[in-house]
Amino acid sequence: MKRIHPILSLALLFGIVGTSAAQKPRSSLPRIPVESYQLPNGLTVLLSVDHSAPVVAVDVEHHVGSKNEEVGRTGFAHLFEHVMFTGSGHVPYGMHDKYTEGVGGSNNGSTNNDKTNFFEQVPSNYLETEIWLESDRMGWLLDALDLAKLNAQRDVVKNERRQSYDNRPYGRVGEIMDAEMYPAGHPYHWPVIGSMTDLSAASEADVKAFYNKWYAPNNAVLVIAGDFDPAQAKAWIKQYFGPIPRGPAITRPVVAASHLDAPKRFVYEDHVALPELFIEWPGSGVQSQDRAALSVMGAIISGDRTQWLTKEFVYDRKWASSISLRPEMNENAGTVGLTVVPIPGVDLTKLESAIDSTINRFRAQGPTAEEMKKATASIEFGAYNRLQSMLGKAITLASGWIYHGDPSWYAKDITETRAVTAADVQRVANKYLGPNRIVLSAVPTGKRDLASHADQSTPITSPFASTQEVGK
Amino acid sequence: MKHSIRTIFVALALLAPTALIAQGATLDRTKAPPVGPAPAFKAPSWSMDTLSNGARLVVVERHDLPIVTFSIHFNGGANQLGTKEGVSEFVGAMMREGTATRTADQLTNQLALLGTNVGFSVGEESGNAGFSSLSRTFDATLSIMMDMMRHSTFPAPALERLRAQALAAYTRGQDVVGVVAAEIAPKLLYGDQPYGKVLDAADIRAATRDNVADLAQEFFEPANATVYVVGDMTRAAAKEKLEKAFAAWPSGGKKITISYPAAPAPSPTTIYLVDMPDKPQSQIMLARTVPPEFSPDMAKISVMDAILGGMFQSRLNSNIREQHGWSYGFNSRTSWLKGPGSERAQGAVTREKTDSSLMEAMTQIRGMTGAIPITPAELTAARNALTLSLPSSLQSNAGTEAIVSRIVDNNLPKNWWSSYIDAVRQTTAADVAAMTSEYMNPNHLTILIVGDGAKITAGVKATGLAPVVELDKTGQKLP
Repeated sequence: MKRIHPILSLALLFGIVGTSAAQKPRSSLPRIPVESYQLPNGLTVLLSVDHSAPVVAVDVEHHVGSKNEEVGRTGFAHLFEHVMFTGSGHVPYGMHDKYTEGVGGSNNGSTNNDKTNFFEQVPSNYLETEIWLESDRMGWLLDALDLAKLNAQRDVVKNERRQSYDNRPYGRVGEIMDAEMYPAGHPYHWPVIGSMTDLSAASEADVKAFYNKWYAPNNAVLVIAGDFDPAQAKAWIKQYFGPIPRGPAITRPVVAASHLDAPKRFVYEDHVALPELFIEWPGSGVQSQDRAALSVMGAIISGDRTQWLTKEFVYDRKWASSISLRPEMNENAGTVGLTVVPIPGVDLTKLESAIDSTINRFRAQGPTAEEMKKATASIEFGAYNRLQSMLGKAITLASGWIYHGDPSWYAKDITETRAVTAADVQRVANKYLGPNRIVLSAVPTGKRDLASHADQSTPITSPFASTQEVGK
Repeated sequence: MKHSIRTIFVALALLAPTALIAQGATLDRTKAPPVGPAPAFKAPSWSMDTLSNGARLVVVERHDLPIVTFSIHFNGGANQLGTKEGVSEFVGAMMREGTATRTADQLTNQLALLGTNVGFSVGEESGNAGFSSLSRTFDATLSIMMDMMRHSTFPAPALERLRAQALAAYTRGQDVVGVVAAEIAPKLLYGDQPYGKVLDAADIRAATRDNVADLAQEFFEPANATVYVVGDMTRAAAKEKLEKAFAAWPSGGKKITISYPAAPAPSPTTIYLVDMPDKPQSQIMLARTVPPEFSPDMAKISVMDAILGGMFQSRLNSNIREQHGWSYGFNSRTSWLKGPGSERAQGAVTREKTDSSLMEAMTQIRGMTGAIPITPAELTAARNALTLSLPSSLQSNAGTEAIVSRIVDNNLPKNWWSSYIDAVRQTTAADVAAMTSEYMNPNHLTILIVGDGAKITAGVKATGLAPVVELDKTGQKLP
């Protein structure tokens, strides 16, 4: 993330939860109107008009993330997200903020394992300006990229790492888990922010080669949503983006599914006051047949006070402040993660064993009809609610295109989610929540004995935590 | 799959109007394109009625989507009711624990089946109750909400469960430099005034079930309530539905008036240092009190804040983050309150650059008072950021409610937004310098640094900026 900014929470509006056996006819759901086409250079364009407020959102998404990096050269995709705001061939440093924030709009970017996006929301009279800015950094970024700029953003990224991983209690658990779930060399093995050693070692040439390979129009989608005239927008898009040359054909990495041959058990010491327990199973990616059923399983097994794990541990036994079990789905592979925040003094070994009993009960019984109904109940409201934000619509359409080749994929997602049955949920619970998993106890420094099954737990640290270098 | 879609895309591309494309030949990419006039901001119109129980009803109709946002704003809060610290924190959660006729599980399941949720909160000087729903599930949701507001049972065992969770969360927060700084700052800025009170573990332990029940009963009364209905519902329908639902919520409650003591007089700049060993970043905060919200200087202070640290391109962020790379972000924010608010500039910086970052922040603040003149570009960006961003609030029901309630909750004139916009646009460079001298004067700042004492203390002292006072994590002076 370029900066910490509340606007990213908009993306969370789209996490539609739910499902049920689609027995009876349902109310019709809203569709986001969209016109799609492609420029001769391969840039996909999605346009969605909505005149309800004089605002327009522009979202450019590149189908490149940390998985496209190479071992020894990690963190480039996220570094580019930063560099993209520092000017390009015809646009000096500072213009992106001047013409977004400085005209009453906002901008930001985000990077994950699979994709990178840059987006802005501005008063609608600035649409051509945003098209100009976005086209210049897609076509001419390298003309303005030098070592000084790279180094400045490298230092910012190192501070982002300190703030979001190293200085945050349990902040390194995610990257430890990924490094253990995915073997060395697997594209999901390293964290999105990358290794600071790799970042420091990267030459200007390395960085430029990565850009030339992945940031071409034929690997991107441009979405405009909001208050604009589509004919005028198309003319501007052709004018500004048309001359950008098509890049080399894209070859996507072959990504193996997540898999563990045997259970793993670790204890991780951190500067924290209280222990926490994390469990992670191999899961599936967004393109898996099991995607909808896994989502529904996540929406049922933990959540409110009546739901399995939450009821048992937060309300009945009162052993935890919170507990959640959720599928984490990347494009090509995924995991199912459980996080429990124990009440101080609760024994982690006892906690883990009781959690297993509850999960096994869920695997044996499956969800009830009412649980299935509850899981889909918020779909209709959620679908209308997300239509309120231009930027939210833009990101929904872009994600559908990136991950599924279909901007309107969100509608298919709703249909598939509603078609999930209780038997489907029970099947995926049995398929995924098995014995091969990683159990990690995060404990205060010097208190390894607090770990679940401390005598069987291997001490572990993050293989990526290295921010000792000082800013210049 | 992408390939089959692409053929259709290319066909559609041919439909683009050719007349406009010809401009491409003369495109000068070094020049920002011309822009048309900015869309004017027009606050939405609203209707105002007084309901039989005395509560005010404000309706903003928006019929493009079949959804409604319902929200009751209560004037006054724990500070005005003299509530013991810690009690108000539990009200919202305890109102989900069951009513006279619904168990907590029934409440949870019924709301989940409606696809929505209801929330209650009591803050320092205002409170809230509300939900968002489809227009067709509005009646059912409102009926459950009224049951929760009027007939919650506040079971004592639930408070014990919530208390254990709150204590654990409090303990966890003590590991985070930003959280520790946020807890100490009010004590330093306000002393023993109401805003100087900060929740601690003892408060969490002391709250009782009766405290919580009594506060909820005293607080959620029509006398201080303004009801907002924003979305797909007419004024007449809203009035009729609410009169019906509020039959069980008769008039009551004492009208609250809010007053606060003036902020403590400015004292000489002091650096307060809190040791948290091994932290790779230090939290640095530079702060001062500002006048209450809607004071004459409000627009000018807002422009000052935007230029100092409110915008990404602000002076603090562009120097400490973009120029030096010492932080992921160094920003400022004005916290507007009904009494004296605060201006706080802060960020988490690399441990080894704690003293350098502090010096740079002071240089930038001092510069704003005149040494580094405010440029026309800075002034334009700040004015625009504050005013041209307003239309985007009107995308959503919740944003619309925020725009309208700003005026109604505070009994401001109907044209308040346009006069505020004018005041921002008329703020000059000289105003910004004057505001900085008045409200962020480098000689009268409270500076708080939370970080690895063994590694940063010597450097901070060596800056010679101000006397250094060491505090423990609760804000008490160390011997």
